Amino acid sequence: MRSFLFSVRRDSPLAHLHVLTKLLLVLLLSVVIVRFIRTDNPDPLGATMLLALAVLLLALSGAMRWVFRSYLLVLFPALLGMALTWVIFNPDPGSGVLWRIPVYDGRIALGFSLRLGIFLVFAIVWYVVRKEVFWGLVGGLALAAIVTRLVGNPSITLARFDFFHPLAIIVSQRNLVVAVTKAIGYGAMIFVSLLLVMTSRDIEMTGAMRQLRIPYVAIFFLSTMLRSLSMALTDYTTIRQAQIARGVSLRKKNSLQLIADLAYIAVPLTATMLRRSNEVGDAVLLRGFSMQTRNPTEFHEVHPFGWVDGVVLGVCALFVILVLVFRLNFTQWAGVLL
Amino acid sequence: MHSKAQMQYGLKWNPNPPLTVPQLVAYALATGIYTILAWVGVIGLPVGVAGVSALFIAVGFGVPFAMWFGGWGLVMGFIGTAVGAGILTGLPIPVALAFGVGDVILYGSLLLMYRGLAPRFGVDPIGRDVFTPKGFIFFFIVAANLPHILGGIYGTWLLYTLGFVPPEAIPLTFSGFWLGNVIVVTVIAPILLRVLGPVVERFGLTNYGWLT
Amino acid sequence: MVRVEGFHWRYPSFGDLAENPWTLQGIDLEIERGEFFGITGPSGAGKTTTCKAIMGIIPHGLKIPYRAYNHHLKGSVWVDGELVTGLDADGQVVDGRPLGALLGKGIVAPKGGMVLQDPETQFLRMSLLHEIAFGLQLLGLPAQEIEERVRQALAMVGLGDLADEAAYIHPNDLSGGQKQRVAIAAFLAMRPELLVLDEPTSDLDPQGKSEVIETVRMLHERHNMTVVLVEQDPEILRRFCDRIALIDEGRVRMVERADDFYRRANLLSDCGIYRFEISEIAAGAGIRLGDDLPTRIEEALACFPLNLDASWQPQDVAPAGEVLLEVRDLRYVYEDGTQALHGVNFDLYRGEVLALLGANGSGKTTVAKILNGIYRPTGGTVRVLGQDISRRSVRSQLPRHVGYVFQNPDHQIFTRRVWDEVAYGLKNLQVPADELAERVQQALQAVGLSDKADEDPLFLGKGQRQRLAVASILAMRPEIIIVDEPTTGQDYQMVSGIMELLEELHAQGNTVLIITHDMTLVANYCQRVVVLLDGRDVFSGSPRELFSQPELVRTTRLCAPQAISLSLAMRERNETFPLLLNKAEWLHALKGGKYAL
Repeated sequence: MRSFLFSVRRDSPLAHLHVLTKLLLVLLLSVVIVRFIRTDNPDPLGATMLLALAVLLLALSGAMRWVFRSYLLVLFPALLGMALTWVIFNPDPGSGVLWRIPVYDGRIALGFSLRLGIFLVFAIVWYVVRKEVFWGLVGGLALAAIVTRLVGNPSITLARFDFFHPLAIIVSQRNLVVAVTKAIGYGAMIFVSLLLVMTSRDIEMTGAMRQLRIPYVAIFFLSTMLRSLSMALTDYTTIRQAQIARGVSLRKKNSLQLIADLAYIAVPLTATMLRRSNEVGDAVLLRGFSMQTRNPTEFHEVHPFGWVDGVVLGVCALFVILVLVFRLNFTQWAGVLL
Repeated sequence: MHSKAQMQYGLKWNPNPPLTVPQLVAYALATGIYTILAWVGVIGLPVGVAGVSALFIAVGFGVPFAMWFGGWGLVMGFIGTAVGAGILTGLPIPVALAFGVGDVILYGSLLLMYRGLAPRFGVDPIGRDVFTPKGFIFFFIVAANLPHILGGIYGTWLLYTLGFVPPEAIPLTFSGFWLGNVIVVTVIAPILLRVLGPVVERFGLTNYGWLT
Repeated sequence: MVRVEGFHWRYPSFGDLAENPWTLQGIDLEIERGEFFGITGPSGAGKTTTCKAIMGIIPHGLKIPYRAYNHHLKGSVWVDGELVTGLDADGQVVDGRPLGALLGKGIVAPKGGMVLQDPETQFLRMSLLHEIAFGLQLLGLPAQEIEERVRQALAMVGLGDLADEAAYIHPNDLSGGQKQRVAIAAFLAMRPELLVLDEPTSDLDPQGKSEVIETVRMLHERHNMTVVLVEQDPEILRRFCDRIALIDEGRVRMVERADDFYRRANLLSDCGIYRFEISEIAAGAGIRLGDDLPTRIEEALACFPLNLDASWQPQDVAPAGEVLLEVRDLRYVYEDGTQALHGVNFDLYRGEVLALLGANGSGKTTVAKILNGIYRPTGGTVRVLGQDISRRSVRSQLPRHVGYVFQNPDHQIFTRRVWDEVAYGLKNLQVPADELAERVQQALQAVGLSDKADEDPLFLGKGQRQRLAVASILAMRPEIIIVDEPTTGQDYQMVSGIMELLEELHAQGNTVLIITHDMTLVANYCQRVVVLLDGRDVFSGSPRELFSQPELVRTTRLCAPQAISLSLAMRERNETFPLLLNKAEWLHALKGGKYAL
């Protein structure tokens, strides 16, 4: 069956849970994960367990194919970026430093050096020829480092003053554990959230909102918005193809030009939306909906809370109490030395 | 509202009642568009700094939407960010919802400042004069900078509180938020304001206040 | 059942713009209970507006600036004896000035229902079950009754086999024809007495069209429902309607019984309405059936000469010259695993107009997007100008050589000025400024939009937007131009304009690949056709060869134009009768060769 923008097996375990149960599950487990990834007391084993559980449930729902197809390019760079951030910006020597790279000595020197010159020249030439910023910077840094290592770094200093404090990249056992735990925990949070997105249908959300007595006009707004997502995506895809047909991808473009191209997509997308909104508005009125509509008959929308929901929430609550109140750390409990 | 003189863009709650079904539907569809644009922006240009996207493309669309649709722009911003740039791109739900709140702060402050100050400075309250010198300067300060400082502070605080960003990375994270938004808004929003503003107005969908 | 008296309507304008002109300028209509009533007219005539007025959406669903009703409407609308819309011109006095007070019950639902043109936008929910149940939920009916009515409604429109799975069927799982039938079912479930259908088949292929109209006909016959059908297709209107109204420029110009309607040739011609091809041929050749023009094949058989000069037999010109496009065993699989193309083969020669035909879902648009470089072929070989497009470096440059005009012009308008719109593609090609200006001018001239250079494309008429889309591609000077369904949803005048444009492009030496459901266009303007069925090519040859094989036409879910159908009928009586493809060939034959082809 289709769920939002994807599809999932009808008989999957999560399909039987109430959507509010799934939402609470996500929120509670996210709170637990925040606890697991604390800098002062990381719990990589706990984070890994939750990640594995989320992946297993997604696999049982038949949604893993969709997860990797849709999110592969975004997930891994995000997790890698998270880990690198915590290595670079968390200079905790812990019990032993593995590697120390001074990056900044706490003073700014105004002047000119061979290293700076090589870096600037390379980056500018690369941009002019290839229209790329990132690889120009990386290449410039690398070339400057190599050349100055071989021939030294002659420079002229005009002035020097203190600014901020010295910075160094420290790689220690401690901050590696923290970085990996943060990445695993963040990944677990992502997969736990995808459990809700991948296994829920819009009609469940509508039913849940009715059970919560949210005004019907608000429910109507949200369900119309959700319905419009697939229309908007189809329109976006077609418009993007029309842009390609007009030669927008014939030459290489820099990031600003790509952003501007995206802005131009908004023109036909919004025009199409305006025309559609007239027709959708008419269709809605013709069915008899009005701003005074209060409480239409409930029809295959509301999913009752079952004993399974109670059990799941109970187990989850117990887990939360163990972690937050009793400060259970699975890594320490398992005797894994960090 | 009975006279043309009263049909001014401002900050009244409900200056042109009632809210009609076609308007509600149009705002729902606009929210869908914004959600898709937010999603595409993250998927299509993933430039990450300290675990978040430094170039949040959707804000370039959210600024004009807030300026045109008043309070509904805040709803679009919340849902579009939380769902489009958040949940649908793999951001954890609590983080996505919290970022959605951040965009409500951002677009809310934008709306208050732009519509509140525009008459005082003699610029158009929905940015139709954005390509004039005065209009652009006002836009650059009030729409492309100030609200994003507030949004950047909130977003950075959020990431720090949740433990996603170390203290040492706070200046970089904030700079990424703020400057990334400035670039995106400055490139995208004026195009939309100039090109689409008159169209949206002609279809009767611009809001004179918060609700209508 | 329906009575419209002197109804005037002006759409509200917003912002600082001047008032809109009156769209309806005094509509007077009476529709009997149980009648099947047709409405036709050119685009912009006010047909849809009239339907919305009957349903009460206009004005009750709109916001009128300053509630100045006197400024926007006059007259009245009655449905089933109840006032739907009326105006008290002296009511609502503000600052001593009467703005007018709106009277009437308002929107006619659930007594009346209206099916709109676009099957996608009126599908409001995300499952079939909830789509049909929506209106019933709003009526507050008990859940058990909703369940029964949903099943009945699905059965009534021939979708009863979907009832069990209805909760899991998403709109994307349904074809256009099915979605339109669902829209009808959604109203049928509410048990209306009046059903209005506003060009419900214009976005559908011939099979979908047939499904919808047969459903409506069956409902009318079995349930004595009053039906109002807005249509352009004379075949459909004549076959199903009791009476037909012609609306033009906001007024009712004529209301006649269906058979008599299409005999008023002059008026129909003046208003730019579709006529039967047989009538046009008869009018051109001075043939009459009594005092009237024939409209049906049976009538033409009675009055057209059976014996024509057999020495002239129209010939098809075999393709010759440079092959610009070679497609061999083309296969394509979408990301979700659906195989759209199972092996397509055809060639495209320089200077020809080739039609790509087939039912919706046969793979035509997929082929077009592969040729333009948007999709990468999964298998097979495609050579454009001798280059294999499986190479990314070739594919990325294809937009220079293969232009693609999309079906919906709104999807390809990126700027707010006609001039800028045509220049958009040229800027991407980095054409120098002086050459750019010249090319833009030439392209606008070719499509007849030179005087609209400073206009806002978003506010041009649909036919003009379509021409603008063609101009935008034309300016890029591609070797091959692909045009995707340019006549869908267009009226007779727009279609004629598009056809003339295509003819002009062909005369200028352009090579055109056209995807269309319009068989008259194919018969008049295309040298060759390729027919796709379920992702494979099943026919390649001339239109004459295709349409002279009724069984092939049937299995590929196409529909032969009247001209050649008449020829085939004549051939059954006289086997030497020439196989005449279109109006021009008929007139050439009827006038003894004195009509230029």
